[in-house]
Amino acid sequence: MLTCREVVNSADHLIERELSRRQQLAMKVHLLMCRHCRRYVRQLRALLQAIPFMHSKASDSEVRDVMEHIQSHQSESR
Amino acid sequence: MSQAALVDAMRAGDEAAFSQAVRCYTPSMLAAVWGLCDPATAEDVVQESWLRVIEAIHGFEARATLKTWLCSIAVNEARQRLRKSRREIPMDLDSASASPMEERFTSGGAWLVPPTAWAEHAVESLLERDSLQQCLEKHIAALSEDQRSVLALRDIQQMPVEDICNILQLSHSNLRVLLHRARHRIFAMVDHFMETGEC
Ligand SMILES: [Zn+2]
Repeated sequence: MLTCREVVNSADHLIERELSRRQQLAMKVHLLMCRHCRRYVRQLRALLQAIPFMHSKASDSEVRDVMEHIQSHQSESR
Repeated sequence: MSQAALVDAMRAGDEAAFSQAVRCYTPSMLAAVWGLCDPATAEDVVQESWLRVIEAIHGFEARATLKTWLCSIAVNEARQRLRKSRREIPMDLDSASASPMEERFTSGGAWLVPPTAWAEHAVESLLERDSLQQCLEKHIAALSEDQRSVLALRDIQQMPVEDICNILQLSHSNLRVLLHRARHRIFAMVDHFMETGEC
């Protein structure tokens, strides 16, 4: 039987499907029985899905900075 | 534009293609060097990296994705600067930065401080709340350099694990430990925010 600490320590591996079938089953059984761990896994999964939207594309000003830097460098070397 | 077409256009010196690549890949490159230098230096490193790309694009082989290849160039550039400033970054695998989740269990491994129930739609709108977004950024910035790099590449840029190991020259198991700790920290931070409304 897994402890709650062990479930929390394996939760991200569960979410990324990196556990063996046996480990997965053990997690499933624990989660069926333990609402705190269920909550933890559900919220961690939601969090990991939300994070990628933090930094999507470079802002126009970042791109402009880089392009200006490159152009000034090219005109220097000419 | 496909990756192959983009690479061809860049090789031909097409400025529009180059701008597109800069716009598209700069965030990943910034993320890749995030852990290796401070933010101001990171921007500089990425700019220098793009200059290198102009020359090196002719040697690009499609074995890696363009994104991974660009990130490797940026990381190499950052490492060279580190070497110049002779600053050694120790691997952060000691217990000093162990997971903040650890204290939330009894010695027997049962919950002592279970997670707060986050509001129903809290997570979908997680990052629409400016205060939480700022709080997340602050906590990510406070992670150790190694943890920040892996979190940025894996969870924010969603790069494949193998690529991250190559770029940062980490073993698979070290990557796992770092990522795991970073995620625990972020979870604990959001949990605290959801409970108290404070960062
Ligand atoms: Zn449990």
